[in-house]
Amino acid sequence: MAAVVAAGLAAYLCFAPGRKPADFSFVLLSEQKSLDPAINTTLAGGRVIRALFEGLAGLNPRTLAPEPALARSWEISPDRLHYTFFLRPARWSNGTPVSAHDFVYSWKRLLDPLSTAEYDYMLFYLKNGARFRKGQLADFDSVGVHAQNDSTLIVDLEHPTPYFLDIAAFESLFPVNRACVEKYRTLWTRPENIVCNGPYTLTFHQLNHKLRLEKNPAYWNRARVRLAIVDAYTCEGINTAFNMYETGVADLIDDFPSAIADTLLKRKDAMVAPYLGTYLYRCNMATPPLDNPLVRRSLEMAVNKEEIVRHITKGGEVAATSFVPPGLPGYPTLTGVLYNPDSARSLLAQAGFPKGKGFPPLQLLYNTSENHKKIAEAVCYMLRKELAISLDPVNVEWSVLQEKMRTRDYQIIRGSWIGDYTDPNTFLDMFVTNGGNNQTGWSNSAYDSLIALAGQTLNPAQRMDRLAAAEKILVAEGPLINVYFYVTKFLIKPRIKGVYPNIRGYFNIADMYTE
Amino acid sequence: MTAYIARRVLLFVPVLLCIAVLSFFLVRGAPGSPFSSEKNISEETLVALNAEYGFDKPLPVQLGMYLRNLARGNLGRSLHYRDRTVNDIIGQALPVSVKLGLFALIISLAAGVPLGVVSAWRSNTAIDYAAMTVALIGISVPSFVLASLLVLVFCFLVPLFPAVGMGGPLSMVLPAATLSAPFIAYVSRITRGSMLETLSQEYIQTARAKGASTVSVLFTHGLKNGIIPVITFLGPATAGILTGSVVVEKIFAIPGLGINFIHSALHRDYFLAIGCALVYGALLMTLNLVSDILYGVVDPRISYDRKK
Repeated sequence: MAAVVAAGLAAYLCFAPGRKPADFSFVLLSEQKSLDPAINTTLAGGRVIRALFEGLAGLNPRTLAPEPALARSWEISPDRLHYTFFLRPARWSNGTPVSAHDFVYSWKRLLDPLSTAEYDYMLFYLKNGARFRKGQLADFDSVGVHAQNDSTLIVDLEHPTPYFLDIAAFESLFPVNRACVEKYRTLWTRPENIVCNGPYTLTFHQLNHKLRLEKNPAYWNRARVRLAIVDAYTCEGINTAFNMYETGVADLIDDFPSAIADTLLKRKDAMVAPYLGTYLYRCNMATPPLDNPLVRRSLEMAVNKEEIVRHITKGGEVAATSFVPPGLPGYPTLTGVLYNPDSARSLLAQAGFPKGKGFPPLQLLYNTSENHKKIAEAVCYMLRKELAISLDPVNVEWSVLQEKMRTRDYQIIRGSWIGDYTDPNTFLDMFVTNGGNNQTGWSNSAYDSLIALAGQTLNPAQRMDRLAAAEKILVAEGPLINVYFYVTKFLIKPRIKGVYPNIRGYFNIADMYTE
Repeated sequence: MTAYIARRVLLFVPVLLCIAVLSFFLVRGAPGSPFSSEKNISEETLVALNAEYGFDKPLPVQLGMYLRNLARGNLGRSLHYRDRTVNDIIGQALPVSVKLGLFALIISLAAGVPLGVVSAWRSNTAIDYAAMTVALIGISVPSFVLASLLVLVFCFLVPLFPAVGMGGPLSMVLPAATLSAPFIAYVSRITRGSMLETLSQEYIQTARAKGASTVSVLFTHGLKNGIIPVITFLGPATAGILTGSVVVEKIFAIPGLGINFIHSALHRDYFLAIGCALVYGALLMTLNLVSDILYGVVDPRISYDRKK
């Protein structure tokens, strides 16, 4: 019995943490694939990477406008093809200076034909960037990035890109330390190896548990950093994350358990804002009768999206009638397809299926998740009820859903899109003919030429008009059934300041402070 | 004894090889790809990824490469966590699961054995029925229900313990309690059964006649024989606790091996999945061996040597 007690005591002591408490801790709802800025693809990973690394520009956490970061200023040529970035003196966490050559190295690493970066296209804006990546050009010197000297970076673009500064603030374009990457290779982002240039350094990382960030003494703007120790917990279950928030382990979580979303919305510590993301279904153009735009609009009109956001998601989401979410500066919100079961029935009759007669049974694919399931079942029920057609929800695993979408082996499939930058182009350029993320086979030459034309338009208002005209075509004839626009749902302790509602759920840990 | 252990350990090798080969083909046969993402991955990136992980070679060649690395103790690179090796992930996660399991095992024994002894001593009384009802509940209530109840009571109603694990010693209490509940029940029922038999034997009556105290009769004389079935149960129980912690790890956000096993299957992280299967296999075989050895230690009638 004594042995049992002794062993119990020993086991108990094994867990003694012996670490200083954090000044701020938050929850990441998924473990990031990598902390390498070039490899990361998740929004949660982006938050950590922005604390560890710093790019040419950063975004203002209130307005999302690009502002100087590692570059203290820049000059843009009148044709908007030629950028000169002037870098400020800054150091890596190992003491060596950050130079323009670091950017050339890091961008080459991202674009290298052997690179495994999924966000390689973020540098296709560079002159010859895509050609170098595809191996059509062997000489990196012909790609539009050059170090004029240690502190001047020259960037040439393929097309005038009004949102290029926004791209320059995107994590994929952040610099990495060549010596560190080449010495430790795959393992360079481990706490014991990592060299970074951002406001924080990584001092601890246990997979599926937590990351610890501590103030980087080598950072040029140390005065900006007010939270010295920050913990980021990884926790997959939203219910567990909510428990962590409620019991004071975490100061911020970025989602609500949907069962109690409506009551959480009313709380004082909830921060809810429109979000640059759309929940949708794609229709496969290769599956008749979905190739008929009348059928697609008929299906969309028969879905009561208001009911879905009110009774299923319940977190303040907005029923979508168009594809591009509201809130983009200078871009009008389109009123698109409204709920109208009568019109839906007459459109279906026009398409040759009066009262649903002769309409083949279809399947709607969604990936495993309680909400996806409820929404898919509701949509199928609404379509069966209003249009008397046979549509069945089919559940598949996440990786199977992605494979089915990639190989276009579906009839109707769940999807979503989150904007990469604050411009409607991040939504609209995906549906050009054979666009990488089109995945539906939809093609419309008027749409393609409007998107291409907008890409060449320097006048901002005219450019937005052209993009809006393109969206009108997409909404009227396109392959999508848009369901709702996402919202940012934060629970944040009142003592934490420096997080503002914006359409990208964007915050910098380095800008945060406590009261 | 040494020869017996050596024979058993040698048997590990072909079994692990079978696990490796079988799980290799099973994970490779699963639909979907480890390199998939909501956003389309360019052809160039896919080619580079496949080349980096050797997936551009024929499957038998890939298996050969994997087994060669395995022979050197290298379990490969994770496909999902691009900056991690499988050795590194398991090296961090296994100790966590082991600590949690050890803690739960100690609770199971510390609570289960006395409960069983008392039930046997006062068999067919209210105490016995109460103890065995609790045990039955422990076996029947699923861990996710018990975990939620414990969190509700001890984190929100009476805030005594943290709601998630890995914060400090206190944070391990609820997960370990959840994990140990069915095992407390098993241990107490096994103890009760074997103690009932032991207590009816003549040497116990002799001990009583000599004037030994109840405690001494129960725990010194009785338990010595009564504990043997519990010890044989320890091997499978430890294995069950270690491999059964998946749900508990998820609810309490404990970064153990179970959660990695689930993720590896969902992410189609081939090498991590095979690695976890191998570790679980090795654990199970080792623990069964340990329990067989202990069996011989506590019961002198059992011998593993061939001659005699």
